[in-house]
Amino acid sequence: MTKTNIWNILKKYKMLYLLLLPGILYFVVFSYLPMYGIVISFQDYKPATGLRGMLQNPEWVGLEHFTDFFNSYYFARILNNTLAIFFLKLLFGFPAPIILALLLNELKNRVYKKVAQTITYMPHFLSMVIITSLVVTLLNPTNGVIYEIIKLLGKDPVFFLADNRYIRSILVVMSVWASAGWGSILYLAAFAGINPELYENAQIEGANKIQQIIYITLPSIAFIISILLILNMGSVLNYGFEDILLLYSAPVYEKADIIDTFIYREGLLNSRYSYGAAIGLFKNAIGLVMVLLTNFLAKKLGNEGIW
Amino acid sequence: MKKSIKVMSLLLALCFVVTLAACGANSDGKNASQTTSAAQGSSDATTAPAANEPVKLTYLMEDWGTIKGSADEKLVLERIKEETGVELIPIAIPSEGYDDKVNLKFAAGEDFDLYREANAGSGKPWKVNERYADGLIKSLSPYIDEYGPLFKDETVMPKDFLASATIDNNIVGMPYGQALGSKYVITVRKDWLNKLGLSEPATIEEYQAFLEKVKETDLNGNGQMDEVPLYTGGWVNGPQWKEIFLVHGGNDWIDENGGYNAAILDPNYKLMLKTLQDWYKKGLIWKEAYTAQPEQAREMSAKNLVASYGFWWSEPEYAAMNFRASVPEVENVVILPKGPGLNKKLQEKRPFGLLLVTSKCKNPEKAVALMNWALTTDGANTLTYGIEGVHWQYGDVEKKSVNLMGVVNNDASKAKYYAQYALFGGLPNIPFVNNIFNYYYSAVVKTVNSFPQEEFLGKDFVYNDANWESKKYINDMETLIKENEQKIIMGQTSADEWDNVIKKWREIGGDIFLKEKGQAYKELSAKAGAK
Repeated sequence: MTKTNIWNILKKYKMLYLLLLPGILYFVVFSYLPMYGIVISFQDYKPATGLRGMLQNPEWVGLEHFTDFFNSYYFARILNNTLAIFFLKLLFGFPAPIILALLLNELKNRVYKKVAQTITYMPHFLSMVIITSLVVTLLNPTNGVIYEIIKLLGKDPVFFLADNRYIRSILVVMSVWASAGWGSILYLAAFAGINPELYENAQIEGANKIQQIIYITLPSIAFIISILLILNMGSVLNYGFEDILLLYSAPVYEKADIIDTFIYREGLLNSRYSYGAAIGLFKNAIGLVMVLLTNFLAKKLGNEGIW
Repeated sequence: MKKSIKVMSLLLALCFVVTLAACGANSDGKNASQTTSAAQGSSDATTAPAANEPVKLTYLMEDWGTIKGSADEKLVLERIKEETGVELIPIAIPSEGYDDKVNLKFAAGEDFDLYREANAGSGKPWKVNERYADGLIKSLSPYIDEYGPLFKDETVMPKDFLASATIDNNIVGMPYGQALGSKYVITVRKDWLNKLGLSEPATIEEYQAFLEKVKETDLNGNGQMDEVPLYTGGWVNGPQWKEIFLVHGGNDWIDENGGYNAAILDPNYKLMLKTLQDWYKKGLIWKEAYTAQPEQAREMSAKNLVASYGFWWSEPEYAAMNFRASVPEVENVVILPKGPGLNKKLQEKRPFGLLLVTSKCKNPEKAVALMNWALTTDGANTLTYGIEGVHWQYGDVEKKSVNLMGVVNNDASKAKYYAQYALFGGLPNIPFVNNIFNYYYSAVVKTVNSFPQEEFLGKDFVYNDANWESKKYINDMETLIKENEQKIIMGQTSADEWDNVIKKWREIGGDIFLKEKGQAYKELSAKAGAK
């Protein structure tokens, strides 16, 4: 493409590019420009030295922070926990909005459908602090609702929040409950775009509801599913910090301590900023690889990727 | 269609520009330019304040939920300005996230002049060492003689306090502290002891018997067996148990071979964990100690449910304030039941914290002058109680107590002004408020100081761990100990596992830490001996 061509295209679609400009500027200013800060991952950076210490007189340490992290006693555990919790949330949390959208889509009573939709996406507007407080209250081992139900059933009460067997399930259920409703909006919008004649023809052909969903509805939103899946895979090591930080405690570190909570303790509370930055860089590198890989696989499987 | 795209795109571009401009708001809700201009009095070298104009100093202030920006608070700020020429600009930060917020502000390179650093506890290196080594805080020594003479007055500033604020012969901050050296105590409800016909537990066995009795008696008279025998906050195995269970009382020690040993290596540590595990299993310890949010813990504590506290000294009395009106006989007393350990209170003679001046402060001499005024009786009283005759007046001729004006029972929580801008608290020289809380505090101080005392090993030493190799393992070591202590206490792991935990602790960095700490201890001891 020649310079003249590019300029002509820009001129021809100037309004569209102007429309695009705020978004591009946002990413340039808040995502790309600050990337220079990555250098502190390779330095022993002291905040007191400011930019001078980062760019002019840095104390380079090479890959020391990365090796320290990989050699950390808990590296394998926190990586394992991060991946496990991510894949569990993906396994249950990704299909949940799709299933919810499919169910809502089948509702005939419009008022009921609207009410159900509103109720399901209201948790999205609650802050994680409120949601975790609700969970802590429900699972209170002395007088929580769940505790009372278990007591009524004659079983021994369990301290769920301090039990490694349950903590991941609690995190996943909480995450699905908080996000499924909001996530279903996108799919519901996509369903609205499906030609109703396809369903009519399928009915005539004798397809039942399930078959209509499998052969018409799902293929129609396959593109959206693959895009969202690719985007989700980019967050593989960044998936959920707030909820874990608010809910976890030392007895469940074994199953709930993730890379982000480790960075929080080490990078922020212990003021090892370079170390925290190095771990963050590691996470983002893995995320990039996952996005590339997933996009590649999506295209290989016949779906459209993001690029 | 084309026209509407044009209009929409222009509108969007305009919105974005406006948003970018608005994005100057910082996370404290202040506009960045306001914060910057507020700090300019101290941070902008090119715009020196005119003569007689007050110097602006921003202070990251720990807010215990009391700072409201009221007219009374403004009166105190005006008074500070009159007396010291400093226009103090407090930036209130909730106390629970204070240390994290300070770390973030340093990391972000934000401008602020004053902040406080809490004592990490004897034996733990102060963060202040690191900050000083990193050049984040200023030495005050050049300004002390001219602007801070009271720093050197031992009647006002005890010598060992000042020593704790000194690094390499540089005074780096203003220490503040409390008369109570050992702040984690065991208390029991005396009124409930009387109801059960028991006397104050003298031994750990009697104490346990009291807890067990509480569990099976409806002492608060609400018809339910919901009493909580023991509340420990989130730190179940706090110092108060170490003092009575551990051979060295929770202190580090030097063994017969001259080797440095940390408290967790105490021979009785496993016994202590086993006992706490036993109590937890029997339901004597509040079950949600490790998982409750601070608000939930406070809410529970305020409900006339708790028989005994193994926690911060003030917690029982703060809780009692919530139900004293309906339960006037409530009385908490401090005990030290005899256990298999040292049975002495480990006195933390180091200050509670330091008030520090950051390297970004352009008027450190004014900061020192402010601190100096805070060390005077007038300054301390003003910062703690407000304006005399407006907010408080002396309660006795000898000026040992004060009454808060317009407040029933001198309830400080209802006062128009109480300690909002106090730069520190509890210096021995200021009078006490005549209220139940301070009577309780006086009683606690008297009782705790009457117990046998022990000082921390290397109590005056300020360890500079900035270049220690073990620093990179500290997080892993702390995680290992914290996780396993809690699992043992909650009964998820056997107490016998503790030996393996210690072995692992040594392997992942504990041995290096002990070697470095021991070496530093020897050097500091030699220096101290040479003085």
